Amino acid sequence: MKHAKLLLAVLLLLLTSGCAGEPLSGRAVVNTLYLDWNTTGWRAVLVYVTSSASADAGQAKPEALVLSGQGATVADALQDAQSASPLTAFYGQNELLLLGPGAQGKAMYEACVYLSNDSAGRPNMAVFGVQTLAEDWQPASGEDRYALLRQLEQAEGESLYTQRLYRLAGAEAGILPCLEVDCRAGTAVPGDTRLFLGGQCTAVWDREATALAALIEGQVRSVSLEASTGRGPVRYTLELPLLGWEPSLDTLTLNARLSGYLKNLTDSGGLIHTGKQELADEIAAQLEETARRITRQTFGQGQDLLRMGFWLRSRDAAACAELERAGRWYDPDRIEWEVRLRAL
Amino acid sequence: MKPRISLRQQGLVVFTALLAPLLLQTRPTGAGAQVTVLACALAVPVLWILLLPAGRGLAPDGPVLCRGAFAAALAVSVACQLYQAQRFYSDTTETELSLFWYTAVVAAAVLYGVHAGLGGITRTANVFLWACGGGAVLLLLSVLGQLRVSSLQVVASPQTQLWQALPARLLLVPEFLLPAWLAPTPRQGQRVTAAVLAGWAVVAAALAVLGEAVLGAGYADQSHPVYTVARLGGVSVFRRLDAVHVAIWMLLALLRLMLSTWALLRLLQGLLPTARSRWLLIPGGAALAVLLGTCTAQQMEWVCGGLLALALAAALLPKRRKKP
Repeated sequence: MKHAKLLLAVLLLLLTSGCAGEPLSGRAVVNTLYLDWNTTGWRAVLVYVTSSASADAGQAKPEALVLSGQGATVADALQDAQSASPLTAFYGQNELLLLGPGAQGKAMYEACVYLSNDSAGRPNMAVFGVQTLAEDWQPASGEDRYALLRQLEQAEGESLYTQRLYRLAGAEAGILPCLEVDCRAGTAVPGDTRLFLGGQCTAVWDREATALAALIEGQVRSVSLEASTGRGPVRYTLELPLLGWEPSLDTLTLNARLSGYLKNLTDSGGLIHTGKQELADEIAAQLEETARRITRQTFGQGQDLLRMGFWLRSRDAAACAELERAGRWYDPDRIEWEVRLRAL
Repeated sequence: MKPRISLRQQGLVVFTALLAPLLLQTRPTGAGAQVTVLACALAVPVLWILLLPAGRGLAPDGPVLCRGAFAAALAVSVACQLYQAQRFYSDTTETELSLFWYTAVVAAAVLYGVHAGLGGITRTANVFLWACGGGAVLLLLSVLGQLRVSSLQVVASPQTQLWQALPARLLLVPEFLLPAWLAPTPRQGQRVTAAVLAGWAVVAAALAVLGEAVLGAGYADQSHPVYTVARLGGVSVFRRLDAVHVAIWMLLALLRLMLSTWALLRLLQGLLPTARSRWLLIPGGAALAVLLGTCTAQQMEWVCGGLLALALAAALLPKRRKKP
């Protein structure tokens, strides 16, 4: 009798384990999602990975295939894309969202809100803007997109600024890093970064401005940049960047201090050994100017996208709220920049 | 007959059961981290004072109304817990789990837990607490790269939002009264209640701060706040860890159900000792069924809180004088 009860318990455990869902072979594991919008509606392209079955594990090759669809809303477009194949799309491993030229701007937020509410997906998907159209993603016969996928992953890793889906889903303003993707050649490299305010692209940031934005948000530790100085184009690596925020409560201004070390200063002739500190000061002045520019373009326009205002608000929330009510909070002169670099 | 389990164990099992509603949230909190921390800090002393009469009232020689209302609150709470856990599971995984099948599967485990008694439930709670601790460390590690202090929202005048957020924090759940009922003397019960309340407030505040540091302003509107944070994180090659977290949280929900059902049956044994008095269960069960049919989940929670408030008020009544 005791054995019967034990057997019943074990049987109950085995039968209620929940292993009855869709098998892996029936799922398309979506790796990259591409969305574009034009007047006819939304276009969606799912790039998913399967592998050609083979008895020898070393021989099984992964393949990247493409499903595309269109619809009036994002949900319809995704459903249409999935209906083209007997497989069910699985978004749990999807960490990359690419937005086509039409989807950047106002349509971007609709897409991001939908995707971040979908519980199967990941709200921390990395979002990039691309200039390719939905048709470019259709492979020529026999061609697979696997090399392109690998390039995309590499470009995502190399990109200085990573924007997450949940940051874009909340507001009507956002920073969108871009990738330059060539589907035919199968290449993808990080491009510049676009600033969107109120659904319009108001600024395009080059690598230096993108690096500063990434530094302010704490996304990167060391960056390699190029500056044009009195000695010509100079490449350098900024190491151990330290960003200090010093609020001054009587004037309600924020002093932002960026300090760091410059290594590997090279120009067209190779490593520079003389006059390094003067170069470092010149580069620091340029970075200061860039920092002021991006502050004007974000904070100065009423959208604190880099969340710099937090350091003042956390010290005196009431005074800052008062300024905001009076309409004087978003003043670009409220944040003063100072950059001090030492050459190693 | 009170089981001989140390006070510390009693506190731990109640604390573990209290973690379940914090983690299995199915509704937006509506309040940011700053307001939540303040509300939790305020709620602890207020709740402790409200719960002071519980030990005396729930003793076997206390007013019958007190224990009766407590038992009714436990019954409503069991129904709420089943519904909340099933809702959470259906929302977060892709499976459609019907309430009937969930109850059927869980009933077997819960009845076995009741049969094992408080000692068995306590031992299980220790294991679950360790698992939950490991899960919390994993959660923190997985979102460490996305934590930003500057994402925390600073509210200039939290007072207005505080008055809106406080009632939700002050809503009584039966687990608050359990330490007072389990402890041998009211004094000890008050000490354990204080410790449990403090632990509960710390966890609630920490979850709110973690959620807002990751998600920023959007945290207050998330319908499953802690689950969204769990979905975000990844550790090295493991890109989706939310299944691990959901599994641990469902275990905690199961433990809470076991504890509530055990307490309910124990109370009913004490209140309805004779076979004739057990017929009172029929109108009681009918009333519960009517409630289930007509009220939403949130209203049921308020009914439970109301019954507990009634129990606490009844605890202030003078004790029954023993018949000479």
